[in-house]
Amino acid sequence: MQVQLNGEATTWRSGETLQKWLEEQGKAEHRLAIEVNGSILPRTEFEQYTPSPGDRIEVIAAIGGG
Amino acid sequence: MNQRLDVDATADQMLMIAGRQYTSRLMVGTGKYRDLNQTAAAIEASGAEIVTVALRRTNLGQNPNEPNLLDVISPKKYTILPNTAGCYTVADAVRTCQLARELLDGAALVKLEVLGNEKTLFPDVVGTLDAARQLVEDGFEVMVYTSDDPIVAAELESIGCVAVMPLAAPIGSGLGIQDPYKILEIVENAKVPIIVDAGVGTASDATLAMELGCDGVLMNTAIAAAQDPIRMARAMRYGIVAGREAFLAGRMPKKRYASASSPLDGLFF
Repeated sequence: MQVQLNGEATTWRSGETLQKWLEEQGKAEHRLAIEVNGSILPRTEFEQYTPSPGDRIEVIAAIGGG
Repeated sequence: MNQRLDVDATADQMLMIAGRQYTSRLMVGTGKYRDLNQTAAAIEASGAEIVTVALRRTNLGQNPNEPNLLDVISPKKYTILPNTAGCYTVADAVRTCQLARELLDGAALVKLEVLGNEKTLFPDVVGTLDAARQLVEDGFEVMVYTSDDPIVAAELESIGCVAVMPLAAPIGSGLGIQDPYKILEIVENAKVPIIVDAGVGTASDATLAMELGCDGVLMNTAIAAAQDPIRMARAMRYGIVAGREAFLAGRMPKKRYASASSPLDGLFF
């Protein structure tokens, strides 16, 4: 199924949780904030959350800035 | 590092922001460095305790194990100050702060900036006031980037911002303090810390800000864009200390004519 991941159309394996996907990306240990369809998804829900088709997912990190 | 140049904390009050105390009055950004090693070294050399970061989409699918800024600049060691750089609307700024709070386990301290113009990066003060009201209402501790307008600065304080941060000159310009009398006016009327944010170019600019009575200075490009960022970070550290000590000492009055330093009594010619 297709989701919008950081603004790009991306194929997401149906049933895969956010936590599993983060692990595959090597980002499970990073400090991230995730927004789904404009609402913040608390970190405690990453384990349970499985995206739905068309979800807009933003994965946000802290980077250098002034 | 020569520790003798550090401020003796017993001779000065510590900087208090949102109920937390800081020894260093220098705050630094983490942008524009060559790499994370240089970022970490410069921040260490600056002695800063409050460090700004930006929020952006994380890189996906490339270098999965690349180091993360917050692994290098640990929230255990530093007060992380997430900014809303790049936000030109109130909604984007508020949303960025909410994401920052989630990212930092509920930490409420944010650096609010609502920008008005890409060329100058001057703040949209109308939007800034609106965003500040919303964020304070929502429980955020707002350190706010603003113009050097004393009336706007006072209004931001009355809204409940924990620090007001007027620009000295445009962000990243390195022009130094363009209107010291407006900064002085802001300082003299404030009950919250006044931090010069943006426009500092070299150590003497930071010193001047502190001599005017500012409570601190926040900078990024002046250190990161120096030929030797680590050395400039150290220079800024000392510049801040020198300016603060001079402010507390109270400078001599300026006089038009000379006043001999050696006594005239006992001359033998």
